Amino acid sequence: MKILVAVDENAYSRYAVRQAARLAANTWADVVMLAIEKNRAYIAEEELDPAHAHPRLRLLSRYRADFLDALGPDVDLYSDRADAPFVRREDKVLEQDLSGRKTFKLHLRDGDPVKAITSEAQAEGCDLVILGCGQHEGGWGRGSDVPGRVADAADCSVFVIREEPATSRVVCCLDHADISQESLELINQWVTIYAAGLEVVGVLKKGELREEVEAKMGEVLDYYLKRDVHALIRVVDEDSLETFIESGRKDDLMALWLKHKSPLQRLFHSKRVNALVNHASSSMLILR
Amino acid sequence: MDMLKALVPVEMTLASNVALRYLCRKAELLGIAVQPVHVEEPDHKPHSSETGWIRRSWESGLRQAGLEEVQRILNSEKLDCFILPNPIVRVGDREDTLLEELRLGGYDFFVEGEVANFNTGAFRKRLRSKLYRQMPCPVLLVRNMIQSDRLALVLDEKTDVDSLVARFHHLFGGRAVDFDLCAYAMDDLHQDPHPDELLSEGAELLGKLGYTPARAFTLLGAPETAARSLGDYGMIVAHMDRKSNRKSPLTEVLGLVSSPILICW
Repeated sequence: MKILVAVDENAYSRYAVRQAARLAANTWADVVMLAIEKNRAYIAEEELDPAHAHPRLRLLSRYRADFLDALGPDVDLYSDRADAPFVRREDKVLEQDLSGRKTFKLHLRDGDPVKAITSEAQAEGCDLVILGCGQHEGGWGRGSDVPGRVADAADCSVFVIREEPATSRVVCCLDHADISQESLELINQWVTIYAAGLEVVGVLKKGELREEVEAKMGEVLDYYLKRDVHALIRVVDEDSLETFIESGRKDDLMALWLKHKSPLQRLFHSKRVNALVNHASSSMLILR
Repeated sequence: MDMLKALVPVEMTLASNVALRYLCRKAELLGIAVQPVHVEEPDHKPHSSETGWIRRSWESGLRQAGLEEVQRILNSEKLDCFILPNPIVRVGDREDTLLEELRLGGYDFFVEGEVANFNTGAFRKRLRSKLYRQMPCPVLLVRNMIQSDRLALVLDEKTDVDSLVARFHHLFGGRAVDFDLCAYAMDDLHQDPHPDELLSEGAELLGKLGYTPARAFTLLGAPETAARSLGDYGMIVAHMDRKSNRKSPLTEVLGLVSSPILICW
């Protein structure tokens, strides 16, 4: 598993880093930590100290220290050295490789944060993007809706963390039968990490649960019961789904299985996924 | 101690599957024998003959298909509780057939599955159905396989406490049940009777029959909040007057709660 943790200078990024560390400790994941800066160019940049030319490199180093702290001393997956050089790659990404037994890289990109995060996730072949988000607003700069747009545009799963989570319930909305084993395992991880309850919510279309969705809910239920995860099932009408997701509480983690051909994806066309992620009270996990 | 007899529809649905599995896990607690029933509802297309051997053989074909389906489901679930060996398979209207079987078979309760909906409309529709309005015994509506064996007896101002306690005694008498007594109201202002009086009345009636709740408490708040608070119980037991309280706040709580609910009429 490869995780991309996108960070900025706000407190929510610190929460995101800590949660990423908890997941990494459980899954032995490869990790890329990404910061984004405004476009800038220096004359003879190679003669400058990278840390001075690019202040966000210091931010990345601090978050890396937070990440290693959150892992604890017993987890020997990543190196704790700090001497690797910053290298400017051909694709303009500034990279510091701090890998230990597992990959750990600090990356700095410039430009639009949404493009930077989605391009990074694609270039690195990440399975999950983790990023923080302000309460009831996107954060990542004034008036920005970056988390929502990333959740909508990324090809992989995206976890948008609102604040230091005291998650007591993970609510997974399911409207199609084509869900991946990886996404089931990812839910399993978060349920275990948070010691949270799990609710699998089927989406009713015209008051009916479609046969393949019903069968999949049964399989999902079996999957979790076999792993001693206490899972509840419920249904919600398609018309009430948006209200239902928005009504998620701070201690909920709302997970949506989105696929490009999923009716849920059609229902939540770009602007709505964006708005939902940016304005919800709960943390959101978009599963692909 | 006699075994209770429960009539349980066995169907190829998630709700039915959950109900069967829950029931088998709780078989010891409830002391039940499960009588599977399956109703094949014929389509309403005109058939070549409405009477005579053609109809009889068509019905017998449907019955055979139904029986095979029930056996397949029961075998695939590998249930280890006591299931009566001969499933009842009928052809006809589901509600009418189940009502007839409930009346003739002398069952202690009817059990069926339901996937809970955040919109309680489906639950209210179920309460308005002919089956629920005329059912001669309590119904256990299973929504999830909750592991806890702890029960909650929930009272509200419309509860017939006498009747609820009598039903509870009939179903659980002689079994080691761990239960709490709860009085629910949106708030405790202008409640008649007051939740505290309800709790005292319930505790007294239960005490006379030798039961002591582990905890007696008042639950105040909106139905959504109350439903969430009751979510950890393995079963919610409540009384419902079929004529008067289908729209009460407690009905909303029962509609929303994730746990299985035993409704006594």
